[in-house]
Amino acid sequence: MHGGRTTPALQYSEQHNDQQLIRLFRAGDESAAADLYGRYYKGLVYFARRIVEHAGEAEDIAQDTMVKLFHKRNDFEQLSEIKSFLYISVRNACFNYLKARDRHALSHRELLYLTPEGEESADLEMLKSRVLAEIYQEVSTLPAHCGEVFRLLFIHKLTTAQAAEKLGLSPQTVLNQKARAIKLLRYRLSEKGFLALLLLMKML
Amino acid sequence: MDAQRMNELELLLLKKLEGEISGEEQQRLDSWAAESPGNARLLEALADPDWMLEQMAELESIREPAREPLVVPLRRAPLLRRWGWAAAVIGLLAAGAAFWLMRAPAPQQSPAAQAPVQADVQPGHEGAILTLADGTQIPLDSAAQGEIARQGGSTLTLGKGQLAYDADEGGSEAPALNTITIPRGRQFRLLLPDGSKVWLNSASSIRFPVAFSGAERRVTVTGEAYFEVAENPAKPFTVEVTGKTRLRVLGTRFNLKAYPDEPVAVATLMQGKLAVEADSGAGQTVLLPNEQAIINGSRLRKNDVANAGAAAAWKDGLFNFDNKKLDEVMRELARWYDLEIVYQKGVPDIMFGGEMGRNEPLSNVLLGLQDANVKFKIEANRRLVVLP
Repeated sequence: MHGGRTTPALQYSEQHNDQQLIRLFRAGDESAAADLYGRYYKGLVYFARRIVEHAGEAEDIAQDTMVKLFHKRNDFEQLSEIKSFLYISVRNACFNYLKARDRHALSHRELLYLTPEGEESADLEMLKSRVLAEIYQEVSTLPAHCGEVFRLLFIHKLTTAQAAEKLGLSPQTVLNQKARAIKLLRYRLSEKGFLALLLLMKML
Repeated sequence: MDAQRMNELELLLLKKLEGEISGEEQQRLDSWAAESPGNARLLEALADPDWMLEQMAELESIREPAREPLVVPLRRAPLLRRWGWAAAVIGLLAAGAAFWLMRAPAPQQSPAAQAPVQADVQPGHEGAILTLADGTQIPLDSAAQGEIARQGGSTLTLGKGQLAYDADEGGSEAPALNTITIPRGRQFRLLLPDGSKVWLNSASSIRFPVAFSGAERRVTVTGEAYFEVAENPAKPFTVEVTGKTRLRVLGTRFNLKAYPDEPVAVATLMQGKLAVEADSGAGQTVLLPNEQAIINGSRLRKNDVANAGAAAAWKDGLFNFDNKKLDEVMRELARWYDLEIVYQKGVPDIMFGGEMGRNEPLSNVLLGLQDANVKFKIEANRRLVVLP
C-alpha cells in the first residue's frame, strides 16, 4: 500500500484490488487468472492482428502468451509489468511468426515489419492497441443490461425493433434502456470527458 | 521504445481522451506527435469518433477462447464475469434477462417453492470415463493428473478436465481404439494425437485411435461434441455419427449435436468447410460458416444461422435457449443436472430465448422456469414433473 500523501478513497480501493488480484494470481487462483484474461486478451489479439494478417494465428499467439504469463506468474509485482510483458511477448511472437514464414506468403504490410523500421511501427501499433483496449474496458463497464442495449443499437447498428427481438424485450423496454444508457454516459461525460462525448455524439 | 516510455505515452493519450490532460502534459504529447508522421496520425485517429467506434466494434468482436489450452487451470465461467461488452451478451443478462433477472416476485408460491429440493442439485462438472482398447475403464474424475497411461507409442496425459494424447508417429502396429464416455452431468475435453481439440458435452461419447497412423483420421461420436480440427489436407478427418451421419471435415470448427433422444441431428459450422453425408439416402451437402445441416431421419436440409457460435455455447459454460421449445430445453437440463423429466400431460407449448450460465445450482434454474410460466413439481430421485 502507498503511504504518505492522502489518496482518494476510490483510487485507494482500486489499487488495493489490483494488488489483491496480483496476490491471488501468484497464488494460482483461477478467478484471478480469468480476470487477467478478461482484461488483456482482446487487446492482445487486436494488437497481434495489426502485425500478423491471419486472425487464427493472432488468436493463437495471444493465447500462447497468456499461457506464458501463467507460467511466469511469480515474476510480477504490478499489473503494469504484466501488461508490458504481454504486449512485448505478443510482438516478439508475431515477429517470429513472420520470420518463419516464406516471404512470398507475406503481405506487403507484413513484410514491412521485417525491415529495420519494423520495430518502430510495431511500437506504435502496440501503443494504439493498449490505449484502445483501455478505452474498451472503460466502455464495457456500463451496467450490463443497459450496455447490451447500447451495444446492439450503436455498435451493431440494429433498429430498436431488431434489438428488442434479439433481446426478447419489448421495444419500450429497449427505448427505456437506451435512455438510461444515454443518461449514464452524460453523467460520465462530466467525469470522463472526451470518451463519453464521442459515444454520445454517435447516439444522438 | 522501453516499457517506461510506453506506459508514459499510454497514460498521456488516455488523459487526452478523457479530457484530463494538463498543459505541460499536452506539450509532451505534442512534441511526441511531432517526432514522426505515424505518431501524429495516431493522435488524429484517436480523435475521430467513427474510427474509434470501428475499433471498439473490432475489440468487441474478439471472443475469448473457450478454455485456456492444456496445462492452464480450467476456468469455470462465473455467471457475471465481466467479458467486456460481451458480458451482457454472454452472461445471463442477454435475452435471458427477461427470463432471469426481471422476474416479478411470484404472486403465489408454486408447489416447487413450497417443497424445496432438499440439498440443492449442483450443476455438472468436468469428468469422463476412459475405456482402453482392452476394456479397462479409468474414471477421469478421480484419476490423479499427469501421465495416466501408455498404449503402444501413445502417452495419455490428464489435465484438469482434459485428456491429451501424444502419439509416437513411429508406431507400426494398428493403433488401439479408445473410447471416452461422458456421463450425464459431466463434460470433458480431449486433445487428439493430431492436435485436434474436441469438447464433449454430457451424455456423449467418442471413439478414436490412440494414433492416426493410417491415411485418414476417423472418429465416432454420439451425443454432442464441438471440434476444432487441426488442418492436415493429406489426412482427411471424418466424424461418424453412429447409425446416422458422416461428417467429412474440410475445415476446422464445428458443433455436432446428435443425441439419440433428439428428433434431429444438427451440425453447425463456425469456420472452414464441412461435408455432411446422411445415411439412408438423404444425400449430402457442403456447409460453409454460419450454415447448419439438420438431419431428420431420411431428410437432410440446410439452414443459415445468424450466430453459429450459439450452437457451441455449452462449451463456454452457457446454455443457449434461443428459439428452443420447452422439451428441448428440458432435455438439455436433464443431461446436465441428471434429471428425469416427465410430462404429466403433454409438452406445454413454451418457447425460450436467451442464455444462462451452466454453473448455476438447480434451484436457480427452477426459479427461471417458474418465471417462464412452466408449472412443475419435483419428486424423489431427481424427477421433474411438468404439469399442464
